[in-house]
Formats: sequence, structure tokens, C-alpha cells
Amino acid sequence: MQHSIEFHEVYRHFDQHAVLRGLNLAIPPGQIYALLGRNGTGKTTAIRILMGRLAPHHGTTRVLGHDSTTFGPSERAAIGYVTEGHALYKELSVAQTLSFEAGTRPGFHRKFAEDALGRMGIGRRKAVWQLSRGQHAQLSLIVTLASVPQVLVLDDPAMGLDVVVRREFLDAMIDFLADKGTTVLFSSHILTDVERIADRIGILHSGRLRLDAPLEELKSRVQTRMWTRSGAAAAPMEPEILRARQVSGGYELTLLDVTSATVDRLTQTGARLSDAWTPSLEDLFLALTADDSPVGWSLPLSPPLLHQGR
Amino acid sequence: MRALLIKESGLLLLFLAVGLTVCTSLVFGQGYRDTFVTPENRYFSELSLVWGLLGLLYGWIVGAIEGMRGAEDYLYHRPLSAARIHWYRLAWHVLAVLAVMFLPFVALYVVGSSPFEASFWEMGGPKLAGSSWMLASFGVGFLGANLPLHFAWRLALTAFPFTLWVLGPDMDRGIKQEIASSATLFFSKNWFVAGITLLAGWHAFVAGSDRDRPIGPMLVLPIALLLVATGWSSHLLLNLAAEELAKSSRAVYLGQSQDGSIHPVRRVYDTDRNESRMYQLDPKSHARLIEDPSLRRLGQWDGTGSRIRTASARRVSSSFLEASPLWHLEAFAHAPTGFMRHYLVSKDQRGSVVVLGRPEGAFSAQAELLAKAREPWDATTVVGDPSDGTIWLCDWNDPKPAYQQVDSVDRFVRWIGMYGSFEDRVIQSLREELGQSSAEVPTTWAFFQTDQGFGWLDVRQRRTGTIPPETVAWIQDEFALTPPSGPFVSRTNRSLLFPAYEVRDPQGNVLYRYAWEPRTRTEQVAYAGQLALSWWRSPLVAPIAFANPNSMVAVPDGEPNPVLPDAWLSPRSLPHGVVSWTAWSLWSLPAWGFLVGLALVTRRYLTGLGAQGPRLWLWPVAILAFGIPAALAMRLFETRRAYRSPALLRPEEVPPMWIRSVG
Repeated sequence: MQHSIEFHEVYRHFDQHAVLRGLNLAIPPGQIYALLGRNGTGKTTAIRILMGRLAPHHGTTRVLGHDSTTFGPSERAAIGYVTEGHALYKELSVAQTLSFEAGTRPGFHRKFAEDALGRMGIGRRKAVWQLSRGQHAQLSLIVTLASVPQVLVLDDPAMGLDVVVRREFLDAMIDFLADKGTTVLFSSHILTDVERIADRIGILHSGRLRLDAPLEELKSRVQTRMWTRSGAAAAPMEPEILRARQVSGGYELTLLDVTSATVDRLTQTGARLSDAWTPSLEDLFLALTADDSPVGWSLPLSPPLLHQGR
Repeated sequence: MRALLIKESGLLLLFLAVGLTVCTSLVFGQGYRDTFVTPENRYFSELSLVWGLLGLLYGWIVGAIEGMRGAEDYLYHRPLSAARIHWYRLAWHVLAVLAVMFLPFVALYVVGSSPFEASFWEMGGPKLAGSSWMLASFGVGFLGANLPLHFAWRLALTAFPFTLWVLGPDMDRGIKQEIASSATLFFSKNWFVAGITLLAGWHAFVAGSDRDRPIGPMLVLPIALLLVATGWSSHLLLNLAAEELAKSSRAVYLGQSQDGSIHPVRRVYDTDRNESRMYQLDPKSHARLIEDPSLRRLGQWDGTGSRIRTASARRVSSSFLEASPLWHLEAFAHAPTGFMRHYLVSKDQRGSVVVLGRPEGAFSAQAELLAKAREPWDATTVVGDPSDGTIWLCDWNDPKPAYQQVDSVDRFVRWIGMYGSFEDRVIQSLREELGQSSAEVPTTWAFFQTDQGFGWLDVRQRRTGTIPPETVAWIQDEFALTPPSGPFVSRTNRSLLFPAYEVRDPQGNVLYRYAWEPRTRTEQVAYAGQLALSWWRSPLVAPIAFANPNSMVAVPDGEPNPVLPDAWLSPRSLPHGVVSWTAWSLWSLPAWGFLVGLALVTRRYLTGLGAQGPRLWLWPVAILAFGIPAALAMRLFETRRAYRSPALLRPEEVPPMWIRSVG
């Protein structure tokens, strides 16, 4: 199967700082993929390389089978790209923005854009700088979608938006993308949004993916339990433990692919293990990326765990 | 493309509003006079300040604005080629620049301005050519904004040329002289510069601003331009230092006091009192010692008995405006068109320009304007045209000034000078020969050479006559005759850097020795700057300067040079001239040796970085050709960060996947 989006062994550094260190990722057609990661982990770099705006030091990226470094007009026509901060020309009016887009994108569906603006309540005479941040973001999305892209790439579309505006933006996106079969790659660090719309998530950390799985599968494989033992006790060390966070009376363990043998090992020294519950995506994100967080504590990387799930 | 016009409309309208307002007010207003008409560089002209700066700023903004507002990805991610977007966008801005360049002149022509009616197109040419400076500056700004360097570097490199103009008013004058010598060439050069910089800007844009990759072939053109521009500007700086040194050295000469003692002398012009003062200088420090009105400048003679020139016999040059804040009338010959430009300043200090030729058309290209004396003369200008031997007068008190021919017995060949340019004894002799009373003050006499001998012109009476042959000897005496009767200066060495002189009496006895060296702080700084810049600039400049006769300043070699009294200490002779060629070649040897060493070190550095292919030899060759600027450019672009290979990331540093889908 040809993937809509592919990263193959992509390396990129800035000065002495290695940002991407062998990023591999493949997104099949029609999937909505959320690329997560903390600030500065390379989400934007990865997307800019994918869009051909930045060159990789090693490796290749492809969209719809075309190498990003050789994109031409026809390839770009098939890709919608909402840049970080929803770049638009603020001095133009909304109508002028549509004219600009229509004049520079041969496949631009002006009627679709005007209808969408009407539905969103965005006045055409307003200057872009007069729009609220939410309307600005929606306009940015509308002009991108009006070209009917096969692949949509959004770089942190929720950045800087408050919760209400974010919700409006996501609703608009869901509305527009419904049943279109568009492949979507979007980066974000707002996990509640991701849970609402993503089919699959990837967590970028230390230059490569730490997690790449469908959301539903994650929910079935990852669980959280309280581990308590009388007296002072060190945190348990088991390969299935993704994170052990010290709380009052014990540790909150985030576990991956728990089996009965795992439970036996954790309880054999008299410790008690609570019933499992499914962690939120935020908890999972913290479990995988908060290794240097001052409020949390996590296990050091241990080789057996690294290959878990392969 | 109309859509891009919509997008660029804000910037375009802003530039058009500012540019047209400023340039139109310049063309129509008082400031216009400083644009081209004033040849002396008493004002910093609008040429650089307005057209240069406006073009440079606009070019920079057009080149950098998308990056500055983070819209590059948005703009260029479209189903259009980036080249198309780029060129259409650029086309609109170039059109705006052209509009600002030309529209004020069109308006001036349409609205009408009487001084221009006579020959708008003849005299409008140079001004239009000058406005092309804005286009070239626009290209430079655009290129600078697109260089793949850190923002601060791009800003600094773009600001560099303008800083040079500001710091070096002589460059401003040089540009104006260039326009005056050939407006068409200046116009063409600016269009060429604009074309090449815009193209290079495009190359740099395509290569992107990615500083973490080795430079690609697309950047060859911008880098080459950068090197050439650096070489060019360092050459200008070198000339600036040389000019400064020359200015200092020219101000010092040898003079004799009334008591017969000989001193280094400096004449200081007091603009308030409109007079000059003579000071004795300390030969060691060039500090002023005492004012000595009796000091007389000593003439120079090379001892071969062929010629001598004295300061008093020197013809007043056309730069008589020097050190004078305001004159009522100035005229400029414009050889290519044969029209005279007259710059008039009324009492309310408003300037205007009048362009006149002969009644039936232009003067010949050889027409010569009679230079005037120090004192403000009658409002009359005199032109001699050797093409048909005619003399023409224009009286500016006339409500409709025009050139009128003066009858002359013999054909005019060239001007010799006028009263005030000659020693009193010459005038006295002539006066006696002509039978005039000594009470009459012949301040309006001019002398000229004819095909038969010499003639005189009484400007006030508008009459000419022939100078009796027996009087001619007096005039010739002053220009080219016998050995001196008093002390004279001769040069005793051929050092181009530190010329030495001695003063001898007519019997050949040495009275005084003097060797010029940079003494004051300014002289020493200029001297050090010149030496440093002669190492800094491209080694190619020397042979190019040698091959280009226009860039040379004649250096005396046996026969004394007519400009010697003013140029005898000029360090401009260092890089130029036939005589200096040998010395310059020797001077270049250590510089070339240094560059060879630098090229080898560069190659070693590049090998260490991991560079491969042509860049291993291209950079060393560039260094040999362009000198130290090429080495700096190499260091700027070929950085360790650009060569940091992913292979340097050790495998154990790379974190593997934690969770991957099993589905």
C-alpha cells in the first residue's frame, strides 16, 4: 500500500543541536494522524521538511509518493498546508484574501470558501487583522481546504487559541473533513484535541518517534494502577512499567501490555496493586516524555522495554 | 499577476506615496539643486540620501518582509512555481521603483519649468541617469535581504554600501562625476547592477536561508557578487584614505618667510573673513607655530631648466567655489551635449538652474568656460569655442540672458587666464604696453591664446585685442621659461610613500631639506588605513587599475607634471601610475605570498570539514583572486555546523521506539 505521507530515516540538526534523529513514519490514506511532542522536539522541523521548505541532512520524506525536495506546482496543489500561527496577510480584507487565494491557486473553490465563511459568521469586508484569533484560524483553514487537498498538514493549529476558539476550530475541521477521505497530519501538544479527532498518534521525543499507534489500541494496551507496600519502598522495576510516579502511600504505575505474570511479579513481595484504569492521553504523554520533569519520576530507559510491542 | 498585486498593494502604495512625495519635492523644490548641479560636495546630495537610501531600504524590505512576518511558507506553498511567484512579485516592486524614478521628471516636463524649456532632454538625461541609482540600490538591498546568513549579517552587509556613501562624501562626488562624464554609461551600469543583483537575489532565495547546510551551487552568483562588491568598496575606502592623506599633504608646502628662512607652511582659509592665513608649521609634528603673512610659497623645479611653475602663476581652476559657502553664479560646461548649465543663487538663497547653448544650438565639445577670479565677478560668463574660434558672453543681469558672440580678430584657441591669476608685474607690464593708466583697475580682463599668438578680452567692454608680441614673453616667462631667480624646491628621492625635497638657491646650494611623513593623528590613521586596505582589497585591483588609464594619477618621472604642485605628495600615486607600477609590483609580492599561504590553509580547513569536489579548489582560487574578503566569505559560509553529519550521531545516542502498534 502506498502511504500518503512517509518519513524515512530523517535526520536534521541545527548547529550542534540534533532535532530529528532517524524519524520514521508512514501514514496511510485517509488517516488523521496527530504528531505530539513537547516544545522544541522537532514537530515543526519535521513538517517543514515534509513540505519541502527545509532540507533534511539525511533521509527522505514523501507525500503521495513524491519526494518533498522536488515538489512542483502539481504536488503542492494536492497538499494543503496550514502553517504555524495560521499565516495570512493581515493587511488584506477577507474578500481580498479569497481573491489572492483564487488567483494563486488554480483549483481554489471560491464558492466553498464563501459558504464556509458564511457558516462561520466571518464578514468578508473585515480586514484580517480585525478578525478574532478564532476567526483568523478558521479563515486560514477554510482557504486551505478550499483547494480540496488530498493531504492536509497542519502545524500546531491550536497554538495560541483559547479553549472555546480551539473547539470552534476543531469543529470546523471535523465538519469540513467529514467523509472526504483526506489524509491529515497535524502537530499539537493539546491532547484533549487529539483525542477528539485523531485516528492515530505519534509522540516525538529526543528526535524520533517514541510512540506510533492508533488511539484505541493504546487504550487497550496501556493501563494505570496504584502500587502500595507497607513501609518505605523503592519503586518497582519491571519492563512493563512505563512510568512510576510517587504519590501518597505508593506509586502510580503506567503499564504497557500487562499480563498476569506482570501482576504476579508486582504483588509477590506483599505489595498491593489496585484495579486498572485507562490513563488519559495526557497521562500517557507524560509517562513517555516527562523523564526530566521535576514533578514526576520515570524509569530510566531499559533495553527490554525499548522493544516492547515490536 | 493580479492576485499578487493585491497582496503587495499595501507595501507598493506606501512606497509610491513616500517615494513620489520625496522625489517630486526634490525635483520641484529647492533641494533639487543639490542633486546634480552643485559639483562641489558641500552638501550630501539627495542622490545618495534619497535615491540610494530609498532604493536600498525598499529592496531590503521587499526581500526580507515575507521572512520577517513568517509568511514564506504560506506564500510559496502554492500550485505555482516559486520562481513565478517571486518574479511576479518582484516585477510589481520594480515597476514601483521605476515610477518613483521617472514620474517626477515627467511631471516636471508636463507642468513646465522655464529653465528646462530650452533643452530638457539634453540636460534631463544626466538626472534621469542619476535616478537609476535607486534601481541599483533596490537590487543591492534585495540581494542583501536574501543572503543565506543570520539576520544581523544580512542587515550589516546591506547597510555596508550605504555606510560607505555616508562616511565617504568623495564617493558621492565620484558618482556625480561619473554621471557627468557619461550619463548613458552610468544609466546602463545601474541597470546592469540591478539586473545582476536581482538575479543573484533570486539564486540566494532559491538556495534558501538554511544555514545548517553547505552552500549549494545556487549561491555561487551571490557570493561572487559579494566578493566583487567587497573588493569594490574596499577600493573606494582605499581611495578615501588616500584622499585624506593627499588632502593633508597638499595643505603642507614649503615657503619662504620675509627674513629668508624656509619653513613647512600651511595655508588656512578663513571662510568668515574670506581670506587665507599662512602659518609656519613645526616640521616634526606639523603643528601650527606662528601666523606669518609674509610667507611665500616656493615653486618647484626639477633642475633640468625646462620649466618652473610658481603658485602665483597658477591658473585658477574651475573649483573656485572651494571653501566658499555661497556664490551667486556658477556655470558648468557639459561637454557631451555642448550646453552650459548655470547654477544661480538668488539673495534669498533659492537655487535654480538655467541651461544655455549658443543661439543656434550647442557649443562644441571642446568649448571652454573661462574660470573666474577669487572675487565675485560681474554676473557674466564667458565661453570660448575653439571649434570655430569664437568667444561668447552671457550677461546675467539681462532679463533674458543668452550667449552673444564677441568680435575677435584672431581665432580663439584656449584661455590662459585672467587678472588675478597673474602676478602684478605681468599685469603692470601689460597695462603699460596697452597704454592704460595705472589708476584703471582691469579686473575684467581675460587672456587667451589665438591661432596667431595671444589676445585679451575686456569682459566689461566686450572688446578683444591682440597682445603685442613683445609682451608675450612676460606671459610665457611665467609658464615655461628660465631657471628660477630665487630659491626653488626639487625632489630628491623617488619614494612614493615618503617623498623628500630640498630647497636650493639658484646657484644650486642646498638651503633646506624636508621629507614628508604622516605626522598628525589623521595622517597616521589615513596612512595606516591605506596600508591595511591595500592588503585587504583584491589583488586583481592593481592590474585592473594599471590597465585603466582613467584611474591613474600621473606621477612625475623626469618631466615635471603640470599638476605636480598640487599632487607632489599625493599617495594616490601608490597604487596607480606607470612609475608606481614597479614599486607596486614589489609591494604586492608579500601580499601575494600571504594569500598563497591563506589559500593553502583554507584548503586544509575545508578538507578537515569534509568538503568535497570543486569547493576544495574554488575557495582557494577565490582567495587568490579576491584576497582576504574571499577568506572571510569562505569562513562565513563554510561552517562546521553546515558540515555536521548525521553520521556523527552515535547509534547509542539515538533513542529507539518505545511503543509501536501491533495492529
